[in-house]
Amino acid sequence: MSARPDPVLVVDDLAVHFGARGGLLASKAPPVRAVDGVSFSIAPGETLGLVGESGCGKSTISNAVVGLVRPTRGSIKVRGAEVVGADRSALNDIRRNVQMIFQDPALSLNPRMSVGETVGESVYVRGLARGGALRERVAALLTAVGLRPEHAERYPHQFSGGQRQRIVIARALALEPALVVCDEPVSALDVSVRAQILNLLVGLQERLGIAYLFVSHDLAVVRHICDRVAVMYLGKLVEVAERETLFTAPKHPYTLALMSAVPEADPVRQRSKTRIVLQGDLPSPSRVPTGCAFHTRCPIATERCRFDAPALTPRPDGALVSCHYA
Amino acid sequence: MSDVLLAVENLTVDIGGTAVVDGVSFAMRRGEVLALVGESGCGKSLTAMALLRLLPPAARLAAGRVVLEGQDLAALPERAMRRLRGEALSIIFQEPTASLDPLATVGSQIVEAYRVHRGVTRAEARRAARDMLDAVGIPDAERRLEQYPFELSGGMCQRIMIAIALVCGPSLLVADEPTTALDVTIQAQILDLMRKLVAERGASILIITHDMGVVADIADRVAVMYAGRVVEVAPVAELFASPRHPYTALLLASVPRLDATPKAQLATIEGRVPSPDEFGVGCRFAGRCPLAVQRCHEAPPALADIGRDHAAACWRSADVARLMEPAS
Repeated sequence: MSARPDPVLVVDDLAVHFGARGGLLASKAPPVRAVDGVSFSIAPGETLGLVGESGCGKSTISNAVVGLVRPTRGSIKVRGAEVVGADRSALNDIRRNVQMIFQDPALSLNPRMSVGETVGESVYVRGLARGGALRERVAALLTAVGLRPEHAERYPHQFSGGQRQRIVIARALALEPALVVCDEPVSALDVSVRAQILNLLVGLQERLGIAYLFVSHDLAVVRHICDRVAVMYLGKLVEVAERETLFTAPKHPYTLALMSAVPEADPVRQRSKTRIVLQGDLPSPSRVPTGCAFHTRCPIATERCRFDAPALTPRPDGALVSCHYA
Repeated sequence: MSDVLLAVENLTVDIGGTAVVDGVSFAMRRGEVLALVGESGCGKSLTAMALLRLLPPAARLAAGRVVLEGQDLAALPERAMRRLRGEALSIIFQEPTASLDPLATVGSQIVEAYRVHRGVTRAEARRAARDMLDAVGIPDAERRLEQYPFELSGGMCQRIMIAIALVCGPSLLVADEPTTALDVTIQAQILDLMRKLVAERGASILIITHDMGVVADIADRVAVMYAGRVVEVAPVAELFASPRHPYTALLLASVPRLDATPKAQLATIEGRVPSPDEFGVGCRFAGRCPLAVQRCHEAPPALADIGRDHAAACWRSADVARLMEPAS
C-alpha cells in the first residue's frame, strides 16, 4: 500500500439527493437519491470506467467530482483537496487538476468564441501565459489533439463533430490536469469518428499520464479504454473490479445482465451467448426499492433481498461485489 | 419469384438538385430481417421515408420503383398509399415518446389504428388492442389501455408503438433506429420482441441502425450505405466475416470488440463524409479509401454480385481482405 502513489481522486461515501429541500419550500415528494453512498478512488494515470443505465447516477457523480453538483454528504478529494464545500477560490485551484469532457461537443463549445480563445481561455484567465507564449501554448494543444495551429482562428461551426470533440479535449488539457472526467465522450459521435477519439484519449494518457474517470453505457468502449470498471445501479455501486476480472468473471447479477444485453458486433458470438433478459423497467430513482435496489428485476433474488441491503464486499479475485448470493 | 416481398429499384431522392439517395436497389424476402446500416447522413432514413412516401417537403422522389407484394408504391395515388400505411407496411421511429399523441390514451391510439383500417366496432377494436398489448409483453393490459404516454417508460412506449404498427398485421415493418433511445437492458427486450413477432406473424423487418451490435443481433442480411448509395449487401455472418467493400471493412474494424486487445489502436477512416456538393463523379468513398486508385475517382462502381447473395460496389473488392488484417 505504501509503495503505491497517492490517488488523484478519492470519493468517500458520496451521496447526492435532489429535491430534499427543507423549510418553507419543503417538497412533499420523496427526494431523488441519485447517488447514495458511493466510494472509490483513481490512481495517477489510471482509467476507471463508470457504467450503468440512464438514471443510475453516473453523470451525477462526474458532475460532483468537478464541483458542478453539491453533494448531500460524503467527501471528494482531488489530489488531497476537498471538493465538497470548497469555496470559489478553493474550487478554482482544484479545477487546475480536474477537467471535464462532455457528451455533445456542439453544446459544450461557445459558438462565439474562436477555437484559440476557447482552448487558451483558462491559461489566459489564470495569467499563466500571454501574447506569443499563449499562442504557442494553444498551437501545441491543438497539435496534441490532432488539429492544426491555424485552426485557432476558426469557430466551432466550421468543424465536424469529431473535430469539435478534439477542441473540447484540447481545452480540458490546457491546464495539464491530473484527472479528466469524460462523460460519454464518444456517444454522440459516428462509429468511425468514435474510433479516432478513443485512439486520441489512449494516446494522450500514454504521453501525459492523465487519469480518466470514464462514464459510459457502452461496455465494449469501456473494456477497450478502462483499467478498472465500476458498475452502478440506482445510485449505488454493485461491482468494482479490474477490467479482465470484470469481463471474464462478472459476479453481480446486474453486471451479468448488462453484459448479456449489450449486443456484440459479431453475429457468431452474439447469437451463441447466453442471454439474461431482465424483466420490467428500471425503477425510478425517487422510489428506490427497499433492501437490494436490484431485487425487483433480479433473477436470483430471495425474500432476504427485499429488506437486507448487501454491502460491497471483496471477493478472492479482488472484485468488490454487493450481492448476498454472488 | 413469390418469396420476394419488397423490391426497391433505383430509388433516387433529390434535395435541392442533389441525389442524396442515389440509385438504391435492394430486395427483401418474406419473413426476413434486413438491416440498412450507415453513419449519419448516409441516406438510410431517407430511403425508409421514401418507401413509405413520407419524405420531408424539401425532398423529392426523383426516380425508382418500390414494389411491395407486386404493387408499385411510388406510382400509387396518395389515397391508396394512405390505406396501405399501417395495413400492409408500418413504421416505428427512434423516439417513442415523441411519436405517440400525448393527449390520447394508449388504448385509443391502438384502437384508432385498427378501426381506420378494419372498420370494426369500438368493442372489437378494443379487444384487438388488448390482445396486441399481451403480444408485445405489456402486463395488466386493461389498465394500461387507459393510461397516457407520459405515465409509461420509454421501453413501454416503444412496445405501444410496436403494438400500433402491428395491430393490422402488416407484411413489412420499417423500424428506424427503434432502440437507439433506449437503455441496453430495455433494448435487449425490444429486440427479442421484434424477433419473436417476425417468427410468429411472418412479418418482415427493415431495420435502420448505425449500431453494428444490433445488426449482429437481429439481421438476416445487411445493406451498407455510404453517402447515398448502397455499397455492399450480404448475409450477416458473411458481411462481418469477409466484407468486400473497404468502407464496410473499416467500419467493422473501428468498433471496439469484447474479444480484442484493450487500448490497441482502432482502425479509423481518414477525413469525413463528403457533403453532397463534394460527391464528384467516381466512387463517393474514394477520397477516404486506402485502396483507391485513379479509376475510383473517375467512374462509380456498380453494385455487382461477387458471390452467392453477396454484392459490393467497389472496383477493388478483391483486395479488401488486406484491410482486415490487424494493423501493425
